[in-house]
Amino acid sequence: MRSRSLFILLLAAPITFSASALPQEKQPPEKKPPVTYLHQPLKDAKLEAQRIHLKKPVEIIEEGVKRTVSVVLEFRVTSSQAIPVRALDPVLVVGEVSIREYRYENRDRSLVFTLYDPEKAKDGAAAYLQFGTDASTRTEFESFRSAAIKDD
Amino acid sequence: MIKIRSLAQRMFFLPASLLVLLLGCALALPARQPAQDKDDRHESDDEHEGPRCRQKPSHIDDPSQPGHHHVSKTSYNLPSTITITATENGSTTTDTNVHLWAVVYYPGISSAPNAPVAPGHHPLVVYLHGNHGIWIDSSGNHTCGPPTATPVPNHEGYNYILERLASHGIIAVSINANDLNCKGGRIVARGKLILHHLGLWKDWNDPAKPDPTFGGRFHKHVDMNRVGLAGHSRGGEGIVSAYLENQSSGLGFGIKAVHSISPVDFDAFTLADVPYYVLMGAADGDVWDLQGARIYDRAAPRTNAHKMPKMQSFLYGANHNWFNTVWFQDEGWPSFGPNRITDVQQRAVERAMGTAFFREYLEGLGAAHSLFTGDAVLLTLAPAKFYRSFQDPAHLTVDDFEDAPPNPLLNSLGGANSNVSLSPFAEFPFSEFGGAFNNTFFQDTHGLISGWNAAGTEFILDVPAANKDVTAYRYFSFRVTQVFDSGALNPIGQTEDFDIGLEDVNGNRIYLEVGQFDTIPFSYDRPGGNASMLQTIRLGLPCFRCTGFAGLDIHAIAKIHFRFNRKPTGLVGLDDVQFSR
Repeated sequence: MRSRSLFILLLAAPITFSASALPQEKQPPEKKPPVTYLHQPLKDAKLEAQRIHLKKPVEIIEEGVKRTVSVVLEFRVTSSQAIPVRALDPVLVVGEVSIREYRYENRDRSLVFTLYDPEKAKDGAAAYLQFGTDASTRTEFESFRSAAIKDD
Repeated sequence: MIKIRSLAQRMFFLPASLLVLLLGCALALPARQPAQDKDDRHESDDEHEGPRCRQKPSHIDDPSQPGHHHVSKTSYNLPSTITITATENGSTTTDTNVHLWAVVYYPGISSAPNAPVAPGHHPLVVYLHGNHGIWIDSSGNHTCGPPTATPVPNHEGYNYILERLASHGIIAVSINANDLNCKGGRIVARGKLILHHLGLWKDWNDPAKPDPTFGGRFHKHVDMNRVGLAGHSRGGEGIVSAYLENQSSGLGFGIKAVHSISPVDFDAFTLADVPYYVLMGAADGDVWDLQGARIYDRAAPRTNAHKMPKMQSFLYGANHNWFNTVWFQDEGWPSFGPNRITDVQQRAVERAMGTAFFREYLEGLGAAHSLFTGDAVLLTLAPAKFYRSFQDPAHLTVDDFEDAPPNPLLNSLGGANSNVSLSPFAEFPFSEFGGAFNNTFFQDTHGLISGWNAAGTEFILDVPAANKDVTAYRYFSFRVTQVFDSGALNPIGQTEDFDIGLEDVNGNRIYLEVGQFDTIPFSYDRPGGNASMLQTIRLGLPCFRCTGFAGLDIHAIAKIHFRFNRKPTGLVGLDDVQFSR
């Protein structure tokens, strides 16, 4: 390569590396999707507990131990909004107990948690709902009162 | 007519050219192929990097451009359902009436639906969605109930990549897991559902098995030894569970590639021997703590580190939902941030990277491998930016900072580390579960936190004599992140930069500026939730042989220098200091 050409090429090389014109893929215009903001407590949330005598006892297995349960405590969380159905599980914490067995009801305005060991819910225990470790979603409830448990 | 150049011209241009050449070397610009030694084994190996020093990524063709196959489509929803019993985190669940429902894109002899399969044995890729509503109500909302006439076709949200995989000769299936949605966990159950579908495909491939579903259409067309799994959200961990159960139960499906999209990490599984690729959106408003990074970090564990490549893309501006076209709501965080990308752009990344991954590990076509290592970028994905982690199975770990008890002055090879005026300078868990330097870490690894606010700071690792010959490797690599500290040492919005030096036993030392090779970005701005996420930087060893032509003796490397001299202040996390293929 002739020396003048080499000189010009070498001077131009850094410019070539930095001047990266990035053509953008053409995207079809789309309607702006609806937004849902997850990082907040549930609106107008309430918590109620109900003792359920199961018509048919169920077998549950925890830590490899099978047992039969005929009475459970159900905690019903209700909200004026649809409770998000998301990757992270909702967890209801009542004192020292974290309840992870749940079902949605009423077009997701209710979330019903099942506690198979009703005696683990202690009177006066603090209660809150949270999605995974996302503390911004924590919804605080009034302390759990045994006297407020409804019977089925 | 012969043009005669004057002596004066030659006297000017020749020395000037040499001056620019030397300057280019000093700045690590690839102005010219560096001097080569005949004993450098890299030079006969032009795979990926080759013998040259490449600083900036090259541009390659989009691996997800349509392939040459016609794409046909079918589906199945079998009349009989199954019961899945699974034990997860100590609890056993039983789900009855689980449907076996899926959509299938495959290479056909024509593009007509249900066309005969194109000749040949085709790899099989199975996608699995995550948790989401399962019924469409009268307002168009996706809910968990009550049931309506219209189920949410969660599994059809990946058709955009299934179609493309099929065009490249892959039978691409996406299975519906509505019967496992709206319930807690169900990761292991999801894995079992996948394995059940693989069992169906094994039978549909076998001419000896009756096939009322497809009438033998797929007989001898499915290569059950080239199976790939992909999953999104809870599906992204479900596929990991499926892989591990296939292995532990000896089911014999030839799963050769596993790809998670924004997965959860409920069960802390560890992959040890299968290529793994995780794609995560930095603006994920659902799996806000970026749990896929934990699966990546645990994969290829220290005790079993050389059996698999692993790769991770951390996509700035991408949310959780939009990798699935059915999940139309934007849960992104922040929702209207300046750096969000559109759903179309987001899916273009999955289409390109997912296709590249499966074509490489199921079809042996590694032309796009460099997308995962950072050696190449796709212009068609702009303005999407993603930052990567990558680990080749062939590597030598100099320090992974996993000492117990923590000791930043001792590296994993047993050599000494030195701290020259860095503060802080200590090993920490890079985790959200306690003990981290601050609350911006969401990974599952330990690393070194190094900070500086004055010139002359350096972190030096001694390489023991037994490990001094690094000619078997092609790169020096490490993982690094700016630690988000609200602007105290890392100015808001600025990239980080420093020098890496290698020193041989003769005292020859060559430094390269990291910023000439790659970008160490400021953390993605999520108000109240910024993440300090490690990414891999790879510097080609040929680059260290450029300056001064004397060369560095990579048969005898004695020290590695991190010289923090490019910015007046800084705070970084470091991990996985390695020599690597």
